[in-house]
Amino acid sequence: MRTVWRAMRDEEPSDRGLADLLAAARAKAETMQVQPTLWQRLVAGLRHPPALALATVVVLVGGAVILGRRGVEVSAPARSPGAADHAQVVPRQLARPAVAEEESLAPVAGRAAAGTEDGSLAPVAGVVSTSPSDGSPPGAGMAKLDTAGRSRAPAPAGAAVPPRPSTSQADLRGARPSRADRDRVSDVDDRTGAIRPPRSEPPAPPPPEVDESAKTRERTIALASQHDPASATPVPLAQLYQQCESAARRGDCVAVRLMVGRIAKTDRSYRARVAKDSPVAKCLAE
Amino acid sequence: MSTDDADEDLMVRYQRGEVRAFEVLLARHRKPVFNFILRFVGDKETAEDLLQEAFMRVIKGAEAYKRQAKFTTWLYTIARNLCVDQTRRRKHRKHASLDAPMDGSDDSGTLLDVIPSSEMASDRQSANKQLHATMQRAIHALSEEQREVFLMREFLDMPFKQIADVVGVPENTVKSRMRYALEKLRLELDEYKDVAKAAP
Repeated sequence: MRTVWRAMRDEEPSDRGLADLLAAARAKAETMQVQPTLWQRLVAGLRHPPALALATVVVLVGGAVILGRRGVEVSAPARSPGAADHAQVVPRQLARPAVAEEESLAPVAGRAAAGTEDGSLAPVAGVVSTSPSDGSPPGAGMAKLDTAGRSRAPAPAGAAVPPRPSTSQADLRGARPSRADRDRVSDVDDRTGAIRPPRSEPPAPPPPEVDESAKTRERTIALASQHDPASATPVPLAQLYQQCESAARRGDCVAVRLMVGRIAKTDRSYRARVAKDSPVAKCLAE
Repeated sequence: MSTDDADEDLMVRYQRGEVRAFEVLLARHRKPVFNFILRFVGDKETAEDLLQEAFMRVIKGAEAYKRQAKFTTWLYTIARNLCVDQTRRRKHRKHASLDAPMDGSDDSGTLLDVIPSSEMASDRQSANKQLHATMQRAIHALSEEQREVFLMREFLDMPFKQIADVVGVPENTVKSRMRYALEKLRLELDEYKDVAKAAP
C-alpha cells in the first residue's frame, strides 16, 4: 500500500500570488537590513587596499619620526658640548652646558676674590710681573692673570695662544683685584699692617722665564691641594725677608715673629739665615 | 549564494536583508508545502491560498526566527496550523451531501456520480487513477491528528521527533496516531489490495 501513495504524483502550485509574496519579502528585507554604523563603515573602508597602504605608510613615517627624535635626545648628553656640529643639531642642549661651564668657573673666581677679602695672603699680583720694567701698559699685567689670579707667563712671540674657556666679565672682575687694591696690598702688609717698601726700592725680580713660571704655578697648585693656606700663598721669601728686616729695624717685633714663623714654614734654612741678622735676632730674643 | 546552503543559514541571511536567500527557500519548499496542504485540505485553491499565507507568515516572523530552530519544523508548524484552522472553519459550514443534487434540481446528478468508482475502472491506468482518488478519500477520512501525522511521515519523510515538535505532542503519541492511521487506511483500501499489487 505504501508504494501506492508513494507513487502519488506531487502537484505543482500555481504562480498565483508569487509576485506578491516576493514583494512582501523584499519590503521586509529592507526593514530588517541593519544600517551599518559609522564605526562599521570606517572599518569596512579601512579594509580596502589603498586605505591599508596609506595606514601602513603613516605608521612607518610616524615611527621613524618618533625614533629619530628619541635618538637625538639620547645622543645629545653623551656628546661633547663644545662640538660645533652638535650646536647645529640641538642648540638648546648646547646652551645649557655652556652656561654650566660659566657657573662652574664662577666659584673658583669667587674663592680667589674671597681669599683677598678675608685677610689671607692675596694672590700676589706684584709677583706676576706687574712691574713696569717690562714696558707693558698698566692693563697688560691684568690681562696676564688667569681666572684664579695665578700668574701666567707671557706667551712667546709667535706662539699659539691656547684658547681660554669662556668666562664672563663679571667673574673676571670678581677674581681680579682692582688697581688700587693691588697697590694697597703691595704697600701694606695685610696681617701686620706694616707698610711695605716701595716696589721700586728692592730690585724687582727679573721677569720669570716660561719654565720657572710654570714651575711656580705647579708648585702653588700642589700646595693649594694640601689645604695649607699659609703655604698655599706663593709669597717669595726674599720679600718676606725684606719685610722682616724692615720690621725689625722699626722695632715691630710682633710682626717680625710672625714673618719668621711664615718663613720657617716655607724654608728652614732660610730661617736660620734670617735669625742671624742682628735686628731680627734681637726681636726674636725678646 | 549556493543553493546547497542549509535552510537555517539562508533564513539568517534573509534576516540580514538578503532577499535572494528567501527566494532560495521559497523555491526549495514551495512544492512540498503545497502538496502537504493540498493533501490535508483536499482542495487546490484553498491549498494555494494557504501556501501563500504560510510563506507570508514566514516573512512576517522572520525577525523572530532563531538559528537554533529547524526551519522545516517552523515552516510545517505554520502550514499545519493553517490547515487545522481551515479544517475547523470548514466543519462549521454546511457539508455537501453526496447523494443530494448538486444544483438543487432533481435532474442534475449527485456528487457521488462524479466521484470515480472502482467498478468503473476497466484498464490499469484508470484503475490507478481510481486507486489514487480512493486513497485521497481515505486520507481525508482520517481524523486531523492521524492525517497530519500520516502526511508528514509518509509524504515528507519526517522523523517522529520532528513531527512531535510540529504537532506539539509527545513522540509516542505521534507513533500511536500513526499506527491508528495506517490501520484505518488498510481497512479502507483493503478492496484495492489486488490493484495496488498490480500498480507499478
